Amino acid sequence: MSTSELDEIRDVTRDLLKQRSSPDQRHALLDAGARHDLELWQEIVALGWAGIAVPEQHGGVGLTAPALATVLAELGRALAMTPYTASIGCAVPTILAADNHDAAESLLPRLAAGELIATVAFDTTDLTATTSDGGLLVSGTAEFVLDADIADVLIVASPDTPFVAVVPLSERATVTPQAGWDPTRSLCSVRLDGVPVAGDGLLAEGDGAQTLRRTGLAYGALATMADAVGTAECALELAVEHAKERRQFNRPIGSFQAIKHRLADMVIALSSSRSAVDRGFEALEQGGSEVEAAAVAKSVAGDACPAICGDAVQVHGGMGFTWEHDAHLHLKRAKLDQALFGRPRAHRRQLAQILLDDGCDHA
Amino acid sequence: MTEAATAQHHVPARASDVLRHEVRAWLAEHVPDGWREGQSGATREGYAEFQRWWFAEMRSGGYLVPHWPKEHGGRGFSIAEQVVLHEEVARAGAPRLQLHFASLYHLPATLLHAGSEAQIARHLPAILDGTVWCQGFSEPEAGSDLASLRTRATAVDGGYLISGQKLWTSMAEYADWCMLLARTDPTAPAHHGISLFLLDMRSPGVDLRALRQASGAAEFCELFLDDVFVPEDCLVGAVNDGWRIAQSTLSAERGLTMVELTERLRFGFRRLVEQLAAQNSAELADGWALDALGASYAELEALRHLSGQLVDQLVARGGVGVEASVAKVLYSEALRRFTTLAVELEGLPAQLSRGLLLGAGWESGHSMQDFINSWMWTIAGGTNEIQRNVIGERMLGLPREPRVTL
Repeated sequence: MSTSELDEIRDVTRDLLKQRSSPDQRHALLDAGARHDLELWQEIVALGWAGIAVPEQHGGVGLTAPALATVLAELGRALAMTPYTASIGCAVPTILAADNHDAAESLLPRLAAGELIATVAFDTTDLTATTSDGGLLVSGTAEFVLDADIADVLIVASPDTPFVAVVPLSERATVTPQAGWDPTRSLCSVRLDGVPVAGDGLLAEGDGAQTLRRTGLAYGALATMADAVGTAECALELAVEHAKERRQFNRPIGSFQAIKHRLADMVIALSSSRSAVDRGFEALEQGGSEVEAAAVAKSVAGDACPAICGDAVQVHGGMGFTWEHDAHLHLKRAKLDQALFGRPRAHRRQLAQILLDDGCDHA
Repeated sequence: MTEAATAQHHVPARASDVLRHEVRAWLAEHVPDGWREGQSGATREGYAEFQRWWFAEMRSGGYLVPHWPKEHGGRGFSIAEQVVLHEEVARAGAPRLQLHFASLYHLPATLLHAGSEAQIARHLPAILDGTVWCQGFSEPEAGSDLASLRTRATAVDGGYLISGQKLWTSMAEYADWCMLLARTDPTAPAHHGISLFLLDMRSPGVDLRALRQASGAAEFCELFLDDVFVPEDCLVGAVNDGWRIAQSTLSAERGLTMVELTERLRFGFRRLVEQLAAQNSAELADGWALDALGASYAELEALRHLSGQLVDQLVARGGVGVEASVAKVLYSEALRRFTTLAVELEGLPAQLSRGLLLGAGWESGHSMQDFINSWMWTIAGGTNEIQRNVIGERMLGLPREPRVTL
């Protein structure tokens, strides 16, 4: 896709979010105790963005991974309270990667149309599958599952089980919302007590299961890093604006090198983060290794983005520490992005292991 | 170079693959095995001789000035083709043409942009025969504030008399010619009273003193000019237009230089990893080492992506903007972190000198040398502090510091 096509997707999305996810609207939602902005979600769906990177044969728009990244970043930028990251950024590409035609046929058109919301739990504990009447029943518990309180289906996996399955969040599943620090996202715990897997719900088994799980984790890491870059970009812009307007000692504080250089450092860190994330989504498009691509993105952007958001709080001074100001929301959002789908340090070790085991040319 | 900048970046995949294959095969045959060991601790003469030998090899292979226009003996390489060449030279771990760097890049870019036909006809062919150029910009009192330079050029009959002192003139000891910035109008505002000259280093009144730097090498000189006569035809462009010419030439060069440096660093990193893997280094059992290696790899990959974007910008606009400042800070600080890591991984043995290795860039594999030399990149080319001012003021539009008038 050309840069101008991506610019257009960004502009259309940003325009919508400016009108529909303004600081006032967000505060009203948060004050009312909302965990989601489902009206906004429906408007994103109406743009076609739920199916942005879903092939047309499965009812999607058939655009590229960089197009998906563009939307993810805009949602992070606007602190949007939608299930987009989990459902479209992570679950959809995991299903596409599963090589299970029936699952793709039955799930993707509904996910792309926003009729169905999916989320993922790749680190489910005590995950078991038992056979009963020829069907498969899945049990286990998972925490820190994004948006499970509004999701219809859940992709479950664990590091030591030989399957990845899609299960309905039916009455055999208990979803409990968790009190997360990032109020713009909904973390939940999920308990599965013999949830039946539909005939086409087994996404992978045997050796393929861990491969798919790692791929899914990589998609999750890339999606959250796109979100983090978007949210850090907005935090930086707020800080720059403040530094130009706020006057102390008879001049704008942005003319002081102490502030100017901090802002320049934030630009530098953001450039590097954006490059690492863009590179990752381009690699997805070109069929590069998603595990390596995600690890590079997470290694660079995972720590840099929350640091940028933290610096934005600092540049704002006392005002940045108030509840009314958005600075803390960006910081909390970036901190959750950093923690989800493997912490940056773990990704760095994984990179080093890839380099040492396979040689640099294969990384 | 500006000429090449209008060329297509996305050469057809096959053409670029053919070039890559050709360059890789040529380098495999011509880069001497063990040249790093051979050059470690080399004498100044040994270094210069090796540099001149590699210069001749590259020339015979057709890889010395492929970026020059065809009518001047180059091959008119597009930017994309130059990127391929830089990548392959880095991959092969070939020597860097350090002695002739200004001759091959800065001087021709300047003359092709602003020089007269006679200057081009006189100097470009001579470079192919080995003329070494140096660059006389900085002064003891004009570093970050380069525009305050004091070296004075006074118009006299038939030319100028130049007096003053230059510092950090790289390779001046070997240089035949120097690109020199001097003040021609002391009454004009700082940036508008400077002219660019071509100075014959054999002119009477030119005196040199080698400047030993922190690494122990003396790649730079102090240059003393005492009423040196420079004929009129050695003024580049218009009088008092030197600052603008120097800035625009540097901007055109920045994108490609970043690609070259980034690629060299990436392959320097790879050589380190391969060495650690081959030695089955005990350090690898430590989590911190894996963490740091992963971090270094990731940041170099991100930097490479960013450099690629600069090159795209160079193709689209013929130059790179303030984003070059971002890339320069990232490169220099990634270099610092990488060399710090290399020293730490090597432990005490890194503290013993194996003899300086010149001409291997900033990733010679002599970890302490590379570490010490990494300050060259956080200081030279506009200190990273100046770059942060540039980013803050030109990119973010923050107000300048109030001017202090004494």
